Amino acid sequence: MPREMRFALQSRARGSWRALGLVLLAWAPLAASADEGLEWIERMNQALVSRNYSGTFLHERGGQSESLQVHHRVRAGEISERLASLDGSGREFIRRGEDVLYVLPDQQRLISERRPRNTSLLPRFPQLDQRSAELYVVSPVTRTRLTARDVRLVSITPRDPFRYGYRAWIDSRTYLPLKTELFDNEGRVLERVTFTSLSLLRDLPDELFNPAVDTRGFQQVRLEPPRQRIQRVTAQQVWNVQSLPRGFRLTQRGEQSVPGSESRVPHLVFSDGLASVSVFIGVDQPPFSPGEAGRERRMGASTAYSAFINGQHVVVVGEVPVRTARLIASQIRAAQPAEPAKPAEPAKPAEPAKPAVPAQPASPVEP
Amino acid sequence: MSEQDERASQLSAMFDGELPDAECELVARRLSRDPELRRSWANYGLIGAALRSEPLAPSALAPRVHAALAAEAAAVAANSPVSGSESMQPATQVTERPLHLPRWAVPVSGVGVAAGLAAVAVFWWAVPGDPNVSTATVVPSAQSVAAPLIEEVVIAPATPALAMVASAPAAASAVAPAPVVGGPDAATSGEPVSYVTPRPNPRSSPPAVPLPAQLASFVEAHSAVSAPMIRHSVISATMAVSEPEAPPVEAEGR
Repeated sequence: MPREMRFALQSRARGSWRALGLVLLAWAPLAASADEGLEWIERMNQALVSRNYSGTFLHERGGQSESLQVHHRVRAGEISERLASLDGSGREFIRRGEDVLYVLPDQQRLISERRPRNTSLLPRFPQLDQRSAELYVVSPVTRTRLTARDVRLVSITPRDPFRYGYRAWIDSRTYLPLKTELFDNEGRVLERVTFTSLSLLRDLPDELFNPAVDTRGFQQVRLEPPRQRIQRVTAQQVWNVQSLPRGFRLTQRGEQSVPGSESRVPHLVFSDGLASVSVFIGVDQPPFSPGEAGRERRMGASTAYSAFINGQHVVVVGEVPVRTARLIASQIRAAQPAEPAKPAEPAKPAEPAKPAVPAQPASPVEP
Repeated sequence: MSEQDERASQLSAMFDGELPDAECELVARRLSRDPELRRSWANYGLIGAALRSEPLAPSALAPRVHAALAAEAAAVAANSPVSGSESMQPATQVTERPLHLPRWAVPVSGVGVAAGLAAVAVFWWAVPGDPNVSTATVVPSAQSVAAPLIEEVVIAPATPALAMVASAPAAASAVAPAPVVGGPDAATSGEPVSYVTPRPNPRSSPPAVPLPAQLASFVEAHSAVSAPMIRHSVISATMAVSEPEAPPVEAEGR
């Protein structure tokens, strides 16, 4: 009998090992699929910033749609970009290196701005990593066809209501997204960008980055960057972010010139790997009337939130739900203002959730 | 149904160069027998995929297809506005490349798919990774301009007349001396009429809350750090900005 019993035990043990093996087998491709999905997203992001292309796309958001034309060129490290509305307004957004131009034919206005790319704010896009897979469910990449192209469909669904989900139909050869969707945690599509034509080009002529309309006679508005870095926002002020929505951490910091503020204001960027949130602190003139409770705007997946918090006007912009923007804004604290003699760079805390942030990049410290 | 699916995926695999030769021949033979399959091939516009899938001999299929097209065009010649000689041009330019026609392509290009293909806009095509290799094909109803700029057309515009292929270089050379007036690509962007895109229906859904103009700068600054995937939508959100609610602060900078 003992022999039989041993056998039974053995077989049971073997059975459970087999079950574990099955579980592992089932799990492995899942993990691999998450990696694969994130890889495709990375490739797409790379393609979007590094390739030259022209295309027309339909942008749907909040029940409205608009067709736009896009030209994108990278030449000698300088990005030129032109986005033109093909509907009604005919508005255009043009960036040539550091020069940013808004052409508003409907208002007969031309708004130009020189926006030197702060070294700390050079395109350093959200980084996808394993952390992202903890915040989002990355579905297995499926291969399908879209507008007669072989594409990979990547779906990324958030695990909590602090972020949106993404779906991208990525061209298998060029890695350009032929269609992208952003959806909320109830599955409603908030924004959709669908390319109706798209060409990868070896190069694009300069002329493509000129306004399509004759802008002579337009009211010229030039947003001058502050002449000096004389800071009204006391220099070397340190900002503390008490606690952030899960997975978000400070990824970049710098400063921006924004309308209505004489000096540049601190610009902090938080990201969870996919979504990013910009926080502007100490804005003189908030974009919409400030209230105690804070004001918010939603434009498809973009949320803008403005509030008066701890003695500062804070503007938050990002592709996140309002609750996330509000939560991040509410966590901005002016920490102990550093002594003027103190260097800008405080000891960086190990904990990503509570970064202490100098208001400006450390490099140019005025006497 | 599933059989159809299988065929479709076989076709797709073939054009992506992922089907073994032997199977390719089978599919090609079936293609030559089965009008249904042929139609789906044409409908899907798989010709583009076919061209792409031959990185070693990208031009191989094009002349064949083109020959078929030309024959077809000759047959319909009298009443068709398609300019045969013009569309011929790109093909002749590439035939100087050695032809390595895959075996399966022979029956394919032999069959009368040309009629179906006529509806398919085909473009200059290069193999990613080898900028020097281009294949030629034609836009049947529009004049094909040799476009050295084009590396790859991912999606063709709905209207061939508005094809970037045709207009971009022409526009560039035509407008180069006159910097501002008219704009370089007025040819492509100035005629929204020709675009077949769904029109917004403002009544069907609640209007989006307009973004105040003052917010544009913030949004634009943010767009520089947002994921490239959504950058387009972020920027285009700023293009839809409404009239400023308060006196425009931008004017201060004047």
